[in-house]
Amino acid sequence: MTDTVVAGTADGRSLWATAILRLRRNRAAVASLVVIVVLALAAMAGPPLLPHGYSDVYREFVRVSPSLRPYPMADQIEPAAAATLRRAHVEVTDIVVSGREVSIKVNSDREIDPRLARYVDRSDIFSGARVEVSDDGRSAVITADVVSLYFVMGTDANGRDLLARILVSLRISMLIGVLATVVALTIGVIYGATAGFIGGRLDAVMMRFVDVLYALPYIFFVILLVVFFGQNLVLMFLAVGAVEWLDMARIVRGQTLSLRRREFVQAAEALGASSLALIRRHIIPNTLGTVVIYMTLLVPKVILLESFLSFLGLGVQEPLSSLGVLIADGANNMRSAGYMLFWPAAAMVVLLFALNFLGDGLRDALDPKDR
Amino acid sequence: MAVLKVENVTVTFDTPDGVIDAVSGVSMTVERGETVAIVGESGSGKSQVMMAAMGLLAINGRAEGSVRFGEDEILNAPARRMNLIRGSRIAMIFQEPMTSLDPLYTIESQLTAPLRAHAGLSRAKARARALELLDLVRIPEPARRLKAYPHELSGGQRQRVMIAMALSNSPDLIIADEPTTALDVTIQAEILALLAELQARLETAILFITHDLGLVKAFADRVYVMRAGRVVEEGPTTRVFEAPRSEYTRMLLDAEPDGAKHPPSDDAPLLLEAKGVRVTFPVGDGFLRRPRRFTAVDGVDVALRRGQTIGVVGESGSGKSTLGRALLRLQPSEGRITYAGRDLSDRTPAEMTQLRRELQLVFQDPYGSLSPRMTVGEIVTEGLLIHEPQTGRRARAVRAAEALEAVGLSAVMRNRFPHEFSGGQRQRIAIARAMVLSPSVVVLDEPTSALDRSVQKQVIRLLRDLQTRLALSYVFISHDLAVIRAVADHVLVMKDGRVVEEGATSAVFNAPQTAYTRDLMRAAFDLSSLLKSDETAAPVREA
Repeated sequence: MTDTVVAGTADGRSLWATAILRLRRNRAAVASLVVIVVLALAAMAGPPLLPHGYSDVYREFVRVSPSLRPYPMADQIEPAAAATLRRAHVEVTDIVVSGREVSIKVNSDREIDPRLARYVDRSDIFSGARVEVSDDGRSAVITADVVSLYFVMGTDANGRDLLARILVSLRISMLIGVLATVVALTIGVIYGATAGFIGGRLDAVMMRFVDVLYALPYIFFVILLVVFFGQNLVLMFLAVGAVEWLDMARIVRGQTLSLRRREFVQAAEALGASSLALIRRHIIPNTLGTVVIYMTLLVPKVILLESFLSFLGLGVQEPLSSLGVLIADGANNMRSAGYMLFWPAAAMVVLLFALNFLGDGLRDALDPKDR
Repeated sequence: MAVLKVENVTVTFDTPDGVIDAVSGVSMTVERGETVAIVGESGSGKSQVMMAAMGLLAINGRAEGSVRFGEDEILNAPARRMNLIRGSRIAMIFQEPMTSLDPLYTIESQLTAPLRAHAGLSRAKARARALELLDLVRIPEPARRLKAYPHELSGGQRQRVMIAMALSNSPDLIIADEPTTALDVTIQAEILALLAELQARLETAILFITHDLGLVKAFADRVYVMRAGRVVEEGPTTRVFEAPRSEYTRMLLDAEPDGAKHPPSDDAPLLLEAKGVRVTFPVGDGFLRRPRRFTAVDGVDVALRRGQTIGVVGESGSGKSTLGRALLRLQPSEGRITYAGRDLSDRTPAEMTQLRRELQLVFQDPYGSLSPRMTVGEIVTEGLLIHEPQTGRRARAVRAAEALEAVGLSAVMRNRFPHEFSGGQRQRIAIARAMVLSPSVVVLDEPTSALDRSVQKQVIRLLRDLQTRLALSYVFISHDLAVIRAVADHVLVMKDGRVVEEGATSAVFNAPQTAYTRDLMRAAFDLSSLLKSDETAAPVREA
């Protein structure tokens, strides 16, 4: 009581204000929060800033491994240059690569058409081809610029930039994870708290309804929804959320039943608080610890469920992608291109770790007894 | 020769907030066949000394010093060696008879387990011995009780089973940690009489840990008074009680609630009146069958005038708390209840909300009645949120500050959470919550029972102050006759849902009319005579 002179004039602090103060002191939670924000920003703002779109296909660079140096590599340029002129009915005599420029000497029995440049330009890796035909018209030198394409995380089996695809997937997965969890949380907490609080016959009816929903094979339920309402991302969130609230409702109901008998709830009742106020002020805040923990388990569960649906062809559709889809892809190509599994899996692991630490931190922060 | 010799024991706990000293340098001895009491308020470390000696400290606790049991050093002895001593040569009896028996096993299997483990008896012999023990602790129909599960026994009977268990291997020392705190006074007297009698017969030493000086006076030969981890006074019980040397012991002896409440003047208006209040609860599930109903309160009349305090006394299960809740219409009941001339009996909950601000309730448990996730400021002003929703955040903060100051707390405490406060402070917060709406009737349900005597006294003084200042009327529910005598001007004595005696406090306490009230008085105020008379009146049955 010595340091409180200043605080005397301050407004009352609520549970949440205190929780934020506590959270800021928890280093792991703050680091996790930073990681999540960075991932979210990268997922939202990243793709337009990248040189390659997530759906751009580079046929010449199928499954190239990650590299910080630009593609094509020096040793790839010569064969690629030769390949461009394979159908041009000319004989390639010499190819000189100097930096990011290539000059090709060609001979031919017939007169060389300067439009030969188009053969070279048609390739993804050369641009601005210029043809200098010799005086006799039977030989020429073609010079062209070699493009510099960066694939820091390599490309997939269709020659698409993996980095761009991971960022787009992250966007979808985080959206689904967060939205479906929010839907499940809202329905589950309100439903469970109401059932537990009112109790009696209504509780029995409400919980039997939950049991009935449990009995439905829920993948089947989601599939039905998707079939009826068409493939729609928003609908996916709702469908997944509408299935996942059952556990939450049970957990919250159990907690509510025991909280209902606690004296502080009765004390508020004696003050004349309405049922709504009791649930909102006394029941729900006291279930938060469990709810937050369950939430951090729910996000990865939802992300995985989504990838399963996508695998069945009911989730996100090509060229869009999600982390689950990328990991499945990577698993298929694990032997020839390990990085295709590594990077999406790494992104997922980082995301889930961060979510878990943040969840732990939040639970501690929301418990005033913890220090 | 000393049975137990504790020398310079310190106990520390490693917590995230640093090292906490629970016990700092305590020495004590227990001689063969002697009854020694350790007395102290909560947090004095009286239980931790014994927990350390028995090797039962919490995982973050560390003990140093020396504890000798006979010849053996047992402090920090390995668990294997302690298991040979615990339960066989030193037995322990804990406070909670409800939780210290395993609900899944019969009394027989719990009684015979230590016999077979320590004494190596066969199943049949262990059963015979168990029967003998139950008879020894005077449980009626011991053969039938052997087959019973703990929930089929009353609290007093369970504590008797615990004592039987403790005695099963004829220990040299019984450590009893608040063995009667959870029991009613009359049952407490019976249990203590039983312990005293068994001790005289079996020559077991008893180490008795308690906060209740009344028990010590009646029961112990020698006493150690502990405060904040140290022994502040020790000596023979009679000497300590007659000529206490330490300031703290004097304070403890003086902490018995005192004073008396004068009845309000005869023309004080009648505020709350109840006629024929009856509360029943359904028993059993009642599926396809009409549920039986248990009558908790059976036709009780209450008439509370302005400025009056009605004390409701009774043992657990007498229906006194249910009556309190029924008076506030928090519990559906039959009968007629009027408040200031308005009939409350058939009001819907919504209509009652208007009246709630004038009828308040304070609970027994200062730990359970405050939401752990609300700040003290939010808790105190919750009533304003309900009854004066137009009050702004700033105005509420001001009212919270006023209310906290009115109950003797600092206004700057309102941003803290309940767990940061001691029991007495929390009870003040609970009182502030009730007072912030300026009610006229407050039902206090055991408001001081969970508090130490010295804190109890302060809370009673606070309640008295508030009553005179705000012209409040109290219904004061308690099992503690000393408290009721100090605060109430009118007393109802309840038993099994009925009022067995009623009258002005002085009349009821000085000249109790019914046998039940006389029993209560004797158990509460004259324990030592009860213990002595019991020993002579009920000679030990040979087992």
